[in-house]
Amino acid sequence: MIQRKYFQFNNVDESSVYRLIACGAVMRPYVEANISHKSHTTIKYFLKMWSSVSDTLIFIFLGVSTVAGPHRWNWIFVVSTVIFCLVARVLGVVGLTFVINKFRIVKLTSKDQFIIAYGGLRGAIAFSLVYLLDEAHFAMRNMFLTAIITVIFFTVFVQFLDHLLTGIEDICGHYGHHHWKDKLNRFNKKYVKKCLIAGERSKEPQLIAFYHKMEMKQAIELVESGGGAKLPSALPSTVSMQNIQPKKPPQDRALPQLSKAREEEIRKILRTNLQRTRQRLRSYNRHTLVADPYEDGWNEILIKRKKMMELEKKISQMNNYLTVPAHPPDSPTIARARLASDPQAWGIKSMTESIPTIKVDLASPQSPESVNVVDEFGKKGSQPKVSEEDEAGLTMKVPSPAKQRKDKKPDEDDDKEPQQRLMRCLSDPGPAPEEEDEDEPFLP
Amino acid sequence: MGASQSGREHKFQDLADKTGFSIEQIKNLHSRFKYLTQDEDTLRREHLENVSNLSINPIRRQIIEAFFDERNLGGHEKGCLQEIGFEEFVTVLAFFRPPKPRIPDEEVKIIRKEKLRFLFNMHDTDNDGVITLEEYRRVVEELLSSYETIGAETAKAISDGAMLEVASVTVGQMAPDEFYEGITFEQFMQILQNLEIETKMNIHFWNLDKTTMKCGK
Repeated sequence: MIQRKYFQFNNVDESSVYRLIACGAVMRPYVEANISHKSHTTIKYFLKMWSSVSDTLIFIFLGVSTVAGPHRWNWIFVVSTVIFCLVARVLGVVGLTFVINKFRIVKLTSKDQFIIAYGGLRGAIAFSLVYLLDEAHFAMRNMFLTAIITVIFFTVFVQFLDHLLTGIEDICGHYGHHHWKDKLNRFNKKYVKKCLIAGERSKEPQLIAFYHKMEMKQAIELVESGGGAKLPSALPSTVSMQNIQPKKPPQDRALPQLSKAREEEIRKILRTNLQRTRQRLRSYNRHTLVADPYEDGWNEILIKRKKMMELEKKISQMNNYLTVPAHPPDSPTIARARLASDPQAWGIKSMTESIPTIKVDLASPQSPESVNVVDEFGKKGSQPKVSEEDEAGLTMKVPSPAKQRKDKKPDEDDDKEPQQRLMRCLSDPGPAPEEEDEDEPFLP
Repeated sequence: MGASQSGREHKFQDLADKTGFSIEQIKNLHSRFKYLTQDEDTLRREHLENVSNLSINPIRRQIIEAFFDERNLGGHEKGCLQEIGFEEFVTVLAFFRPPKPRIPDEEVKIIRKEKLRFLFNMHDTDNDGVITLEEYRRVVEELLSSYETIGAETAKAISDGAMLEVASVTVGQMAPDEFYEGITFEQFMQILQNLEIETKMNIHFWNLDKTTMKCGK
């Protein structure tokens, strides 16, 4: 009903808004895949700003129209409108979610339904926006994101199940919704995606895209909770790749531990990137248009402190991992080289071709950015690596890795020395002196 | 025709009781069976491979094998049959029957376990009761096989990641030199406990394609 008022004021044909929404919903995957991460963020926040403005205007118009007419008549009208709106809304939401819940993995609970019903006219759209931004609903969002505890397995499983059901339906000659969904998917993949998505992304299967998305989401979660949240598979378990691989010659055993550490470091890089973005994002909230001048500085200190704490925690944890003396000297270097997704580093696979690791390439637009981030925020980005260096220094006691490291990461060298000194101040005196391999003689 | 007709009805009734399908559904499935086998009595792998839509399915191999797998046919033996009759066909399809709306919780648990067991058997191809890394990797590779640009590397990475997750969640603490054999059925059930499989793994059998139902009388 309020929408009708809006349309009245704008002389817009009613159905065109719905057409726009439908068009946007269909177009979205293709547009999203074609633009870079930064553009995506920019567009997103621009449009959010715009929608806030429109929102305000609507309510201004509404208020004006309420006041403009004959007083008594208007009150009755408004009150009855509101009541009918609410009733109709609740009925609609409850009815539809009842139907939709039959097909959903994560069901919409009554709490979600209440929010949809109450949340205003932009209904389900606002719901998803609220979902993404609103701190008050953080707990619920957390629950949603971590409801799927085993992420990769689950995704694979869901795909498997989907294909299985389609196959069985085909055997039975059954034209169920799996059949049509599958047909649509195939059509989509074959024709539409090829035309509308440029380059490599058109061939990216859903599983990989989903994997990337989940990594990002977890990184964001880490940021939001200040690094205190427990990632589902990371902290509490000591199971690493090593436990899974069948017994192989010793040279293979070393890397598995690193792949897990490597995952952590990927997340750390992402987090660094996102923390910076997030600080900028703070000022986008329309309710705090004037940024607190001290806020940024204070945040810097807080973040630094958090990082120190985490690094120390990580160092103590890493100590538990290092039980195998026979590491090939290159392994941490190679892990770090892979971290930066540096195309050159990827080519250096000399010793480790046969070793299984989790090597998931970030989608191409991101990797140059993450490298830039590391360079730009030199200290922060490289600190985790330095901590690994510390550890490497502990067990290996071999000066040669340092030289090799120099070859592979020429852009990082300038950053290393100041951080080593910084690390020396902050960590135990024990590990640090041994780290001065590069510029000082090895201290016994 | 009369005698064999009533004999068949009797058999259908038995099957309906055993599998939970209705008589109507059993009849439809029988027609479909005849269509697939081209009026022969037993179904072989080639018959299933002839289904055109199945040829584009990435996991068709596993699906077809599932019909011939002894473990799914109620026996406790392990092994594969070469051909199956209508009874076995319906038995396998019964795994996909949606559960009746109002049944007690224990029954739901049983049904869930059966469906998960079916899925487990599809992954565990060598019948040793454990999904090893190799087997899982093969499944992932097949799933991704329809995308040509994804190499074996990615499939390996994904399957490694998934196994790591399962091990972390189910076993938790492992010393560095312990070896994780593979996913046992209990662990499989544990990871998937939140997924209400009895609502997902269902096919509604009333929408069968009527054009294949002519029995060529």
